Amino acid sequence: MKMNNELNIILQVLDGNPGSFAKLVDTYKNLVFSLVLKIVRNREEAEEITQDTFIKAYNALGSFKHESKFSTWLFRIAYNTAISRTRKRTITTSTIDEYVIENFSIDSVQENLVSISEDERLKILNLAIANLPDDEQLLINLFYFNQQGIDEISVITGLSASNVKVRLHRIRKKMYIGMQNQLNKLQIS
Amino acid sequence: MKEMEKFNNNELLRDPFLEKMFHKMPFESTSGNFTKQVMDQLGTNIEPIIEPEKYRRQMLWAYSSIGIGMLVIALMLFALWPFFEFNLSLSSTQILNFINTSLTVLRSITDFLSYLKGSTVQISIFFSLMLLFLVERLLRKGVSNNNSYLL
Repeated sequence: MKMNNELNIILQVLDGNPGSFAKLVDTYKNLVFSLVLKIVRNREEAEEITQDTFIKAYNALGSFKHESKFSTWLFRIAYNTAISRTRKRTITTSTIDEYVIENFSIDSVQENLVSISEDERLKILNLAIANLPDDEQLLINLFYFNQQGIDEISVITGLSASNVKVRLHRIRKKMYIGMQNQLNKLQIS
Repeated sequence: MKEMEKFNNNELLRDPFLEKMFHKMPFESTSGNFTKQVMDQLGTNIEPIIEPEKYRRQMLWAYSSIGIGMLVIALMLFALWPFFEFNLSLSSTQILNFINTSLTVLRSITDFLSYLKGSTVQISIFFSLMLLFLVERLLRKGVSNNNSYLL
């Protein structure tokens, strides 16, 4: 959706035509849902969080200052809603030593991944993502799946651009370590 | 710091292999009646959006109150500071006096600050200003949170 078109819809809603908001919901529902689903890994909960996101966005539409794209602003709401929900859960994720992360070579993992089927590759990728803490899953999905830029991720998460870059670099390496571990399990079984 | 500099170039994060894998991940869709469900919830939602007209009325009211407050404080200051008592029917002597007075403004500010220390009236003026500033902040916050303290 073009930015001008979005702006018109937002103005229509603010002028007292709430029905126009449906166009924004239609445009962004799947993008928000896909992102949230990767974090909560439960369709019902993800749909609930996506609904909450749109309701919060509707109520706060008057405070949207057009300083960022509407999608960035919406993702920020989705991010905060998803993170506050997942904070209530306790999920066990494995921790990896900083030295291992820094010195890990991803080339061999890529070679190993190429040698297996695409279905297995995607399964391994999903397992590696699932093993990351929630905030790291969000960052990696925003960058590689939603293809948000560093500055946009910075606005969505409230982290500085430099911090986003450093964290993404580490998460990427952690992902490869996770995928290698999954590959090892696959070979053993 | 070195680590930060290392990432100034975004290309370091580019990973075509990983990007390709992420692109192959299925794009999830919400249930068919998702939009209707959201719109139904909005229809019964308790918090309405602040309409621009309402927002303007609130801000007009807030700024009028602050303006009146500032005017009262200005009048009090004029009453307290003798050097502000000008006769506005202009003559060359008065213009010169005005220029001289203007040049002493900086000195007067310093005098005022030391006077402030010894005067409860001036301290109360200062706190009134601070209070007005806080009220203004509070009003702004109330408006942005869709809560009105005035209407």
